[in-house]
Amino acid sequence: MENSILKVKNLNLSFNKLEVIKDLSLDIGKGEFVTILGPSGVGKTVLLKLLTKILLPNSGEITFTPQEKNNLNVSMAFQKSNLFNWLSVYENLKISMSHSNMNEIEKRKKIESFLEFSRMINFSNSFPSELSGGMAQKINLIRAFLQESETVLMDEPLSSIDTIQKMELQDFILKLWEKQKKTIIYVTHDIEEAIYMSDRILLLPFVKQQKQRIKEIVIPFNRPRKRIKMLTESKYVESYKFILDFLKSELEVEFQ
Amino acid sequence: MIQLDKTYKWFVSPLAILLLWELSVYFNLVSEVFFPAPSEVILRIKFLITKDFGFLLHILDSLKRLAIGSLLAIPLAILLAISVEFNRVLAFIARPVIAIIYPLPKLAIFPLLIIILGSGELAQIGIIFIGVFFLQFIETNQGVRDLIKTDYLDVARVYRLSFWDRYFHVIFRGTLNHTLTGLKLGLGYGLVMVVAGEFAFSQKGLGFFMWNAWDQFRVIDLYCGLFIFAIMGIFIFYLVDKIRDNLPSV
Repeated sequence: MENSILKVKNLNLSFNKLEVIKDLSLDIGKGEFVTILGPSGVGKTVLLKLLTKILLPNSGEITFTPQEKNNLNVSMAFQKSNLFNWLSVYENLKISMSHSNMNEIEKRKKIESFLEFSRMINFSNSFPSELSGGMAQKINLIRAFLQESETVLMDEPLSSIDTIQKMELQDFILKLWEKQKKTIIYVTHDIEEAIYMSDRILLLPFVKQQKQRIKEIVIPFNRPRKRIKMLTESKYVESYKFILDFLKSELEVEFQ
Repeated sequence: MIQLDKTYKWFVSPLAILLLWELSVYFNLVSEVFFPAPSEVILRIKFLITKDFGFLLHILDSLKRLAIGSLLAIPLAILLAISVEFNRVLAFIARPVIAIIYPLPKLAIFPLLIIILGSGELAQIGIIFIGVFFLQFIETNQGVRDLIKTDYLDVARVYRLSFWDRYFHVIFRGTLNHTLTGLKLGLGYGLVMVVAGEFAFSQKGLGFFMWNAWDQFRVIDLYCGLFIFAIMGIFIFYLVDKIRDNLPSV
């Protein structure tokens, strides 16, 4: 791929002889919004943990371009907000910039501009326990975008949010992505969310005898996307069906 | 329902017990020889403190021993409780040693400490150190283990937190709830060790004062010592809970 920011080549990972990732390769372009979708237990979160170096592979290569020192290539929004409950919102964001070369004033300005942008500035001194689930997740997302890294990984950050807040946060992620011009690798179970958000969806299969061959679907909608209009288009139904057929074949179950 | 300030809540039940006790003595339900009225004990404490500086010095001596023993034990226990979870060599050395020493009755170690350290201050501070150290270590270590099960350390790794931020702001602060419980248990047990040490080999301290009172059958003075220890105990619990109440939820 031209303008590639991440290349994964022949990646393998096993836990006690159980193959979790097998001979996996993928290529992500700079500035892309790529979603990884697959059934539970297929290794989506493990793949993100390999990209962040929380886990190390048994073999294979992960190459970011340009390669930054000290794993500065990626930041990550976790499934649960995982904000430090004993730190205020501001302190949570500030501590995440611990490695940054910015001085205190620059850090404060950057954090405040993000909080202003997300209309969370009034909650700067609040503690995570004082925030709603959606608000805490918003701070989790801001924390990921606040970093200097060019790639943001997101591990089902909206999976436990109610529908209305979920839609709001999906648009919030898209706004941040467009503003920050970062590359996003997004993991979700939600087909509708994946189609609405992504440029490309990578369908991750279970490890079988052969290598883990990813299926790919390019989303045929221009941006900005209109949610309701998109849902009624035949291209949407085709994409949805393609993903559903993949999941069906992986899980070997029949959907009505 | 009556709403009481949190501070007052600490004193309602002890005062109720004292009142019940006072009434039991007043109506001759219990023997005044063995259970002197709390009002008498309080008057006696007042007398001992204002007229006899020796009593005050005994209190200060006990507090000094508790402070020295605890100040040596607590930071070391916290540091070790955190370190063993992140350093395999240290865990290999420290875990079995702690597992062997912890179940030993601490008072059974005391004669050995006296042989090794002599019958002076050092042995008495040593036994307080041992008493406080293990409870603080075990409770803090449990906190660290609980923290490791969460994703907080993954967050710290992904965001490349500095050594200080990782160990102080994430691990230490994240385990503070357990650490404070350890502090409560440790200091409480420290008081037991203070008395034990002073009963046996001291000419100073509240334990010595009480032993002397027992020897001379001054029952009311035994109660004076107990009251002072009880006040120390309630103060420790109150202080630790006050600190906890003022922390954001951990």
